[in-house]
Amino acid sequence: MVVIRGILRYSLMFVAAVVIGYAALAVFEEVTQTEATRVSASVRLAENQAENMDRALGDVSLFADGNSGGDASEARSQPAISEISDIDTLIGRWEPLYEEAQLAYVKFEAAIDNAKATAPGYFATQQALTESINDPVAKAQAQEDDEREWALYSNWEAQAESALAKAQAIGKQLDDMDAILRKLELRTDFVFDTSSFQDIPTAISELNAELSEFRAASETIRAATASPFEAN
Amino acid sequence: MHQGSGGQTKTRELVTLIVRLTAFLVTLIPLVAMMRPWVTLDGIDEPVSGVGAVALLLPSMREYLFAVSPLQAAVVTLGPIVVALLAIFISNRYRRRKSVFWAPPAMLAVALGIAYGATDLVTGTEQGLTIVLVVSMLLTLHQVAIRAQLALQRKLMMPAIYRVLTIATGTGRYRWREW
Repeated sequence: MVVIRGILRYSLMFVAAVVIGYAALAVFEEVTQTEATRVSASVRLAENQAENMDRALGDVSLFADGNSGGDASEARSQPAISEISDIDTLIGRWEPLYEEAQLAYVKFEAAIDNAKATAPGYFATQQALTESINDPVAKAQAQEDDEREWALYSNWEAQAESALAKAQAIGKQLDDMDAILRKLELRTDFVFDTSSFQDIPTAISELNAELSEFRAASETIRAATASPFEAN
Repeated sequence: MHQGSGGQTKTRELVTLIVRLTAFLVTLIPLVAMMRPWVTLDGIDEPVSGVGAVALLLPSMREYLFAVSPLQAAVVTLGPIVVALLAIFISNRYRRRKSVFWAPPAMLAVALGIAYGATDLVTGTEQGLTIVLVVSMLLTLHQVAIRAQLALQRKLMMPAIYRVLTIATGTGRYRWREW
């Protein structure tokens, strides 16, 4: 005679209890992780998002150069920008790149805000620990270390702000470009203006200088974090 | 002849019982999958498990995720809780040999929402979520088969198919006692 329901009930309770225990452990680990681990993770996130932003703007840059941007195999299968004679096709190519760049900017900004929000906790904890040291020599050494770390972080934050400002400036140009394309799209229903259409790749090409500046700024962010934040 | 028929009946009952127990065990798999990697989030190096995704609700990642996309962040972080609750609910119903037609499709919808509806945050689907997708599809098929079997029973149609479905869905009778 098999008491099936009883066995099944206890096996369900056992699995549920294991999952709940595992979840409690995960939450405990998350809550008790050190301030340094938090800052390290948020700095890494910001750097990864800078890379993503760089990639998204790189695709716009390829588009500006007359390539399709995005996947290389996709690029080969599509005509060059200069060969496109239809505004809808051009917008079809532009739109995903523009949306991706917009999303990358939102993520980059949020990641930098996240890093800026976690850093004060780390430095407050460090300062409190330094204050608790009684030996004057050791305390002075600890204060010196704290100041060096703070300077390092301040440098990183400044570089991050600078990169974000450049990304924002490029984003505004992309917004303008999008508005121009939309205006052209609207106008084509009235009369197709070939001369304005030919100007579009040239106008986008002007973004390239700005994109190079952003690339340099995002590289500087990574260079600024040869720091204790990456220790974990 | 009588013995042969009795043997067939026993085999059918045994298969029905095995299918029934297997179906129950399958309902537990999404709970186990909660502890496996579910998704890769954009900008985060390590994949997060179902439980780990819920832990992202804690500060400071919560601020970041909800700043990027509040709806998708809610899907990614709260979705695993819904999946786990549905898994427990379905499992409990299966334990009592009761059908629950809406829950497996609901679980499938939530899993699909995490995998394909939160693409601003999610860049890759990992093993755990894939398991949940497959299991919820199987359970949905199981529910469809049960519905078909019930429809055939009511309309007294296609008795051969009805009998096969009775065994294949694990809903038929068997003599082993249950308390």
